[in-house]
Amino acid sequence: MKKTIITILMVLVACTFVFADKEPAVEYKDINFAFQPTLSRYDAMGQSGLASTTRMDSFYTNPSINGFKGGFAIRVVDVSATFYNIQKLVSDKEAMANFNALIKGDSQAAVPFATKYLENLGSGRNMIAKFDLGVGLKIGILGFGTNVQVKLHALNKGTSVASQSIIPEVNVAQTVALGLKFLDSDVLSLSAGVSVHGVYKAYFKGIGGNKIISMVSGESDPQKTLLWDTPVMGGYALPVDVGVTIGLVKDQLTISATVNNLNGKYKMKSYSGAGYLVNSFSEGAIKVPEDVPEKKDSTDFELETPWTLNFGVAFAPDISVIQPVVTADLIDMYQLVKSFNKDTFRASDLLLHLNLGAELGLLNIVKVRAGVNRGFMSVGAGIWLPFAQIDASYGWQEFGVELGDKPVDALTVKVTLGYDK
Amino acid sequence: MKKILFGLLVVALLLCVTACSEDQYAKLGELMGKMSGNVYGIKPNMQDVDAANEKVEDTVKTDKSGKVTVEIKSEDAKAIVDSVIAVQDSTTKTEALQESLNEPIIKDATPEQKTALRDGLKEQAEDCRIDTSGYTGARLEIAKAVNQAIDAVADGISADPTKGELATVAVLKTLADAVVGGVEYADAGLAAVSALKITTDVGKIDVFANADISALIGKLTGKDIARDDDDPGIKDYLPIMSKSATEVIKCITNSEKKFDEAKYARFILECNAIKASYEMIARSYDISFTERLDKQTINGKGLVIEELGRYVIAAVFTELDRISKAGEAIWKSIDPTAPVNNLMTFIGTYVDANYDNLTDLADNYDKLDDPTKVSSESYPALQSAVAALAFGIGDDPTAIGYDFSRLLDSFKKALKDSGSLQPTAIAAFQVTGVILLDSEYTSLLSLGDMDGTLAGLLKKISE
Repeated sequence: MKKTIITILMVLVACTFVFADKEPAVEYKDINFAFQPTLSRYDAMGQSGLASTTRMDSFYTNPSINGFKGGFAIRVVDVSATFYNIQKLVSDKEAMANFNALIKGDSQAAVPFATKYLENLGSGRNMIAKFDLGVGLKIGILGFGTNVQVKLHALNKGTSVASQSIIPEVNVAQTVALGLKFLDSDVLSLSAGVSVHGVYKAYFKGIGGNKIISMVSGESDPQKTLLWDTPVMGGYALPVDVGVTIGLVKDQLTISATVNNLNGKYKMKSYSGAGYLVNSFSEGAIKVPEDVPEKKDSTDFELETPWTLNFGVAFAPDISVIQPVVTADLIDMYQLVKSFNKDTFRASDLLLHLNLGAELGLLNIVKVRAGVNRGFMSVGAGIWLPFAQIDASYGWQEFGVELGDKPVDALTVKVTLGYDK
Repeated sequence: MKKILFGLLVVALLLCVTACSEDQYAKLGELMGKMSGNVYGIKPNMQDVDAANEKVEDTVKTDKSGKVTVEIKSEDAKAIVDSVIAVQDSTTKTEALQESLNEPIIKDATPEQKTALRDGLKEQAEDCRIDTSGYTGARLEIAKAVNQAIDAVADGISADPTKGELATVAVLKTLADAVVGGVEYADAGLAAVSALKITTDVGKIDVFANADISALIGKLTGKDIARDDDDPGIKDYLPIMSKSATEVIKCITNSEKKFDEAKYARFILECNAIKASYEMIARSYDISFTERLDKQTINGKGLVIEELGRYVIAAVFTELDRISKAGEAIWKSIDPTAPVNNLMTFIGTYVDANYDNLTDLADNYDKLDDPTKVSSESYPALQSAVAALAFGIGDDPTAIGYDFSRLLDSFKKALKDSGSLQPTAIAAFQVTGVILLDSEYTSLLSLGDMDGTLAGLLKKISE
């Protein structure tokens, strides 16, 4: 009878399949792939402070500050690490017991810890971690920055850890910024700036249960799987940030407007694996093993990342001992204006575009920060020595469709060697 | 220099997090959690939820005399499905809609109105039946599955119908319309599944939630990648099964922890609708049973692996109930010694006797290793419940686990011998293949000694 059933099944539904000869483009509409390096101060202040950003951060937020503040700044190197979804882990005694065991070298704790972490990621999009490495130089009106950023996105189209997939993204960016101060008086000043980022972006097709099972069960070699059998999308764009800043009352009150990520359309290609992507730059850079799946032709596609229109106000009275700064930003105003005509628009939605922040600096060395990002709180602190800074921030942000759907917390630590006062 | 900086950063982070005891972590976590609230106090915009409710309510009319009529036209059914799906990306909206769909269609309805609603919905469901004359092949099979679901739904409408039941009838109407219209089955099936995940309790069951995936993979591959203190064996599977068992039990019991016939009827109604929807999706594709599944391609629709668990629950209960209702003789004809003939009676007796143990199983299963952790009175019941969930590992003929084991043996025998179950088995494997392929979980078929094909899976199951 067993054979009969099998035979029936074969006869009824056996068929042939045509293999695609091109590597299909993989796009994730839920993920915003716009490039921006980690800005710990900005995050701690509720993702606000467009009008009072530091010189080096201005390259990536408001390039007019580059002209507004003038002077010299250098980042010999900065390194930052951001970890997401910390609170759920820290609250879970079992997870932390596994974490402690892992730190002490008990490798068996890795799987239950990782499983717990993945469970906490939930449905929809999320982030696991973000790592940044950067150098930069600002001389007068010109600024240069080089950044490498690795992001680990998570996307779950289902509801359990079984459908969770991890999407690594790598950005390599070279930035050139120009800022000019056209008008400079005690009453009024006017600055404008522009920065152009040459960004090469690559992201993997989601690494999910299928691949992990293959690797764990020994059916596939992890290195081969990731290098030669996990499709990667790679491409470039030249996004542009533009900003204008008006300074009032000896520049203690500043008002800025920025348009960020203009021209954020990436020309992308699909590759059958990261190894093939590397070899597309330099043929033979990595030797292709014989027993890997055959390379497919690339598919060209465009990856659109959204541009934003933002406004910022900052008040920084000249009190040298505590150096207070209060900021308020109206973010993504174009989307807000577009939503005016929708039936679903409510006046309270205006608040969802309002980020607030504050900073106090003790003798210009110790900084304490707090902010509100779309209603979610953030805090942070920094130690700013003449040639080194350490900044940390912790805060929440909304990753869901609606407010309250999926608040996610993030902890960032950033170490900078350089001068940017 | 960069390496040193990065190393310092990692060390600093580790020092921060390892300097605390687990209790201190918990307090820190509590503090961090207090920051998670939204200080603006803005409530999510629920207009989509209101719109979905209105679409459901618009199909019910009450005249001046209080007489109630129900009419779900094709366009109404589609509008209901579309409006329900519109909220699916938002957890907050989905939960709000689910809550409102659990309410009766008319609050505080009179007995006459309740009867009119039940009869009206039953009539609307029956009107969806597809005339299969002239149908052949996949269209005939899917029409039969939809008709089977329609019959079950018509039979299962409760005495005081909820908005969710009306929405489920609307979903089935969209399926029937798709079959009659010959439109793209996969799209209609996917829309139906998306809506049913919100409108039904069965749709919310997630077999893989809280599953100990690492233990499961270790078990399936024969490689112990779990911790040493995780005793391999049936316990590896219990966190998966017990959670789902609890959810199923809650679907069919009332607030007094007793089996509820009306809720059971609704449960079966929902299982039928879900099963038909998945089979409609799968009928759009040809899956080779003998070729490795990872070598095949289909035009992916974004199914996820959780769908498999949901489908299996829906299919198993649908078929068990169907062959149970088709005539008590079925069980007896296959296995004259079968302990129970009527599924509902069996489940009712079983659940009433074991409610607490079954619903607490996820928390209690680890106590099985040490009887001293459980009172002497409740230990045998807990053991039986575990045995039952473990598909009859008990040898004691007086234990209910033994009965359950024989019930399953009967079902397996029926699968092999009953002609009526073979089309179901084919459909089930078709759905399994499509879900594994679409969710990119084909490597499950290569675990252990399986060969990556559906035929290999069937062989494994037959063994």
